[in-house]
Amino acid sequence: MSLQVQGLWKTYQQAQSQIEVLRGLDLSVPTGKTAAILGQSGSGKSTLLSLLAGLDEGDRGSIEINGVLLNPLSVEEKTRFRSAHIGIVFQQFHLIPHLTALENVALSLEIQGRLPNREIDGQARDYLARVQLSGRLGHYPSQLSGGEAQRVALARALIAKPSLILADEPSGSLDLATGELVIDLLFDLIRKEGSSLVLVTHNPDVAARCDSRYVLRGGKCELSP
Amino acid sequence: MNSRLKDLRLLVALAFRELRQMKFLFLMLVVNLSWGLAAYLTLASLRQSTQKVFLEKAKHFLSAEFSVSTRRLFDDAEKSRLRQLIGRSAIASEKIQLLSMASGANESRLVQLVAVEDRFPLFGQIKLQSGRIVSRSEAKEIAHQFKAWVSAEALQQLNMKVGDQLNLGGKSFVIDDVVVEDDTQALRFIYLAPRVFVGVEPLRTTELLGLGATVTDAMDFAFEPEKSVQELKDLKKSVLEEFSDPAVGATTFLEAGEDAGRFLGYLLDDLGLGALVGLSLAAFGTAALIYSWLHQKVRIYAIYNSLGLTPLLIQGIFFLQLTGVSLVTSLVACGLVSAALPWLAHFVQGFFPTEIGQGLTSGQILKGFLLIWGGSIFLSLPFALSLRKIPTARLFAEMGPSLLALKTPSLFAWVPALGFFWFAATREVNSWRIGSLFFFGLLGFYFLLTILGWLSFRLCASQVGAVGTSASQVRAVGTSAELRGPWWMIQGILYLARKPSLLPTFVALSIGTLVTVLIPQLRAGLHREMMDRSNEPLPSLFLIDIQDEQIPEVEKFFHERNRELVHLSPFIRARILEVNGKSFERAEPQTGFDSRESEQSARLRNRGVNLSYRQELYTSEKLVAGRPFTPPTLVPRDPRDPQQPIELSVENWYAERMGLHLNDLVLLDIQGIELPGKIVNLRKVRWERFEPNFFIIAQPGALDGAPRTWLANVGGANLPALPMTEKQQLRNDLAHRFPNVSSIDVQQTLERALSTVDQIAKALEILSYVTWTSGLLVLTALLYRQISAQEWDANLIRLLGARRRELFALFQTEFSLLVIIAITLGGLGAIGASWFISQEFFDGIFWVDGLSFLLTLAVLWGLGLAFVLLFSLRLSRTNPARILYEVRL
Ligand SMILES: Nc1ncnc2c1ncn2[C@@H]1O[C@H](COP(=O)(O)OP(=O)(O)OP(=O)(O)O)[C@@H](O)[C@H]1O
Ligand SMILES: [Mg+2]
Repeated sequence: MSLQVQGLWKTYQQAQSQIEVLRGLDLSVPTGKTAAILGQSGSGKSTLLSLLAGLDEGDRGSIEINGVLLNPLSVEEKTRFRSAHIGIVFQQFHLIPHLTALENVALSLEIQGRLPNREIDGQARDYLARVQLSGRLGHYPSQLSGGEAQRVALARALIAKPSLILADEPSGSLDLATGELVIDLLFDLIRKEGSSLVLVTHNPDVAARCDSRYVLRGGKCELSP
Repeated sequence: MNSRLKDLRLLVALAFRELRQMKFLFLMLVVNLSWGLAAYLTLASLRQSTQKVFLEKAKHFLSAEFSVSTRRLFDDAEKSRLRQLIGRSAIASEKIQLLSMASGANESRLVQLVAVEDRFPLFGQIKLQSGRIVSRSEAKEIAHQFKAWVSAEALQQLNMKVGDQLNLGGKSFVIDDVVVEDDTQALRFIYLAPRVFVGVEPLRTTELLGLGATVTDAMDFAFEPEKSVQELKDLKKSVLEEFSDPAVGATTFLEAGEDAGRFLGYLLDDLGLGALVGLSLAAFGTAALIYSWLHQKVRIYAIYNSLGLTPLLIQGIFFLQLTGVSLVTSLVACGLVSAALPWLAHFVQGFFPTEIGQGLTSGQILKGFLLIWGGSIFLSLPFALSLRKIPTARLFAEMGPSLLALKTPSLFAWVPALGFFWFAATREVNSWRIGSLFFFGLLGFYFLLTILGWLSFRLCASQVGAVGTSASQVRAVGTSAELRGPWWMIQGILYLARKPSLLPTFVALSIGTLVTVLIPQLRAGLHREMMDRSNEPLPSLFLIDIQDEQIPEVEKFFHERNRELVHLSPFIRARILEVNGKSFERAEPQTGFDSRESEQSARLRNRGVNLSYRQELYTSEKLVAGRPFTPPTLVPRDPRDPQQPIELSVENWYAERMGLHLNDLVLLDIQGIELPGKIVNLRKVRWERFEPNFFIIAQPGALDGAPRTWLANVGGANLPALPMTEKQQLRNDLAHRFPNVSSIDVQQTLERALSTVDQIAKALEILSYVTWTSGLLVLTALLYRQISAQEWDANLIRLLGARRRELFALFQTEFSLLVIIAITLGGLGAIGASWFISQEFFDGIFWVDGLSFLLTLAVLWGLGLAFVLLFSLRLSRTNPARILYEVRL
């Protein structure tokens, strides 16, 4: 089992009110499988992802990834764990503006620090080729189109060979055709690497390609057919 | 590979890549910091070489290793007691110094007579015009014959040449040679009169050494082998024990060097205050720049974090970058200083010993680097701490850069930076009091300006109808259609009122203005003060050493020439034995002094005090506490009756330094006779009026019989100053009639003092230009940062359909208001600060040079508005399409 979530609670404390976003959520994604999360805006999809990525803390419940319980880890430990096991794709791409496409992709491996620099460079080229961007190695994010930027982000998320990919509406900012290309590439890569995927999307067609589909409603995940 | 090493390599790579991308900010930081550091290093270099020179030459200044002196003449018994105590093997030489009139055929001038023996100078040397170099080893004909070596200046004043006859105290001396270079004179620019060397033996035959003459008789000693510092200190102690007379003092060569160096040291401390102003401006700018730097970087740090870079390593990147900035800054500053020092050395020639300004030592460079590095790390600590909590989760929701913000650092996180700065301030001016005053003044201004800025932004908001600053309040008002003015104006003002990140920029602008306006204001004030004083009629001559029995004749002398003798004051040597029953003398600290205040008071305590007596205050005095003396009683009183102590008036500065207070009971020793006194008032004295005055003045009566000489003015405040030629004639005649009475030309002395002040003012002026430039640079950078931080919003507003013109107007409203309010408040603050400084340091003479004030403000307004115009023009031209696919910074 790659991802196992049990009884996850998350409340945001506002000035006067409390927003209970997640209320005892359960979710499990077997190794190598893909899961789509659907749900209305504001239902807590992004919140769930940030908890899975170890970027925020739930109030109750447990998250287990690759047999490791996230809850007891410190911030530093969570960060290291993320570097080794989790890849994130954002709706807004979030490339580093002062790095080229190649450097952006290489950064994941550099931070992971497992490989010597020469190999990192080779692998980064390789992954950019896989997302069909061999001709854009030296481009800065500002010189890339939205679709290209998101493909760079895909390569960056996958190059470190994470066992779990978290993607928050990766095609949400893109036109239909471009979005499709990005999603195709995502599934393609995941199949090759054998990673698991948790994909947040509003698009039922995209969701249909996943092994399982959940709807986030009332703070819980409901399996949908 | 070692994982730590790998981390470090990664950090260096990331840090460097990022720096490449922020060249402008990097440049601003370096420029900003290197000005401050350059000023600091220059002063450090001057200070250190001053100290070095004065310690190296200390024996020359004293022309001895150890010297025992008295402010009268030693008698033979005392001399042999002294020889007994010091040891027969020491080389000894007597040296008598006094101010005296020297007369040629036509002219008479005040000179500093230095009467010497064969062995003079025991250390150092004197170069004569004939090419002779005089040192310890050879015998000197002036020691035994009626010959004199005259300094070039005296020769010129007297209009004489070698071979002419010089009249000193009724005896004629042949001018044998001219002194070209004199190693034994420490400070070339502080002296009342040029030097003339004669022999002790011939001097004794003149009329100059009569009773009560203001002489210093010194027995100089050199030891073979040289004595250690501790031995000299012990020797000093035993000399002081042996001679209980307060007029006898002992000086080791180290003290002489320190004394000479100290004066320059104070001067440099004051310049240090100027450097501090520059440094603090740099600190403000740096803090604001670092803040905007991190603010910009939050998103990138969040991405790093999402990719698995730990917060600790992210802080590491930041510190590495600071280190890079500090290194480059230090290099730039060293370059600046190396270029400036030779020029400075030229500038201070004749003002400082020539050996000063030699260059920077590696220690100073290291210290400068540590100062900048440590300073910027302390300054950025609060921000760096908030990096512990990077809002990475916000990346899932982020829409624009403004949504990703670091937590506001807690106030406590500022404590180390403030402490560091406070410490640096007190070190820099070498005074806890002045340094702390400066520090807390600045801190106070900071808070005051923050509050004022916030209030004035609110006021602007309420002017357009947006009363509240909280979102709900404004929305409520807005929907009720009470907002006045076009939408862009309201939006501009709302930015101002709602963006807390604008406040530091606002305050930095204000304080920058304050400093920029303050320095020229202070200089104008200083000049005004000098001008003011020299415009009032001054006494034309200051007479010293008039003997008791000469008074009627001297009075008659001036009366015959239609002049008055005024402010005739007795001059009595005394010593304070006890204050309120506690002993008060020769307190010698065991360790060094920790600040100049304690140093000054200890030195003053060790000296005796000169006092005088009279009933009334002069016009140049003001009572600041207590009551006037009671009118003289007809009943003769016993001065030694402790029930009826003599009334005393003490100068307030002296009282403060000595720890004397109103109503203190003071036991005086007047040449062996103990006399109880009581402080009945404190008074303020304007010393620069050149009226005979004293720290302590007693009620007339009790001191009538004490040994004394007299001081007096000729002319007086209500007489017109004498014309030059007439004054000179008067001095000539006086010198012929009364060879022992010396006259000082007040005008001339004042002019010489003014020229010294002018040079200091010049140094301050240069410093103020440096601050000006760096201040403007910082302000421009801040403004630019602040405006470009709004690029995203600009694009957004354009997307919403705003026209370019309206966008431009929005930025104009926001930043013009910011600039104008900040600069105006800063200017007003400068007036407040200079008023405060005038109360503290300049006897409360407050003066605003209105024209230069308005001019400076106008220039700042103009520059600020021009930059705002430029930047908002640029911003209103941005391409709104950029918002569509990538957030850029
Ligand atoms: N930092 C926060 N503080 C307070 N409330 C928050 C915070 N982040 C999210 N929320 C609230 O939590 C709820 C869930 O937010 P979340 O971003 O997870 O929604 P979402 O399902 O991703 O929506 P969308 O599909 O629009 O992206 C929302 O109502 C939001 O207002
Ligand atoms: Mg979301």
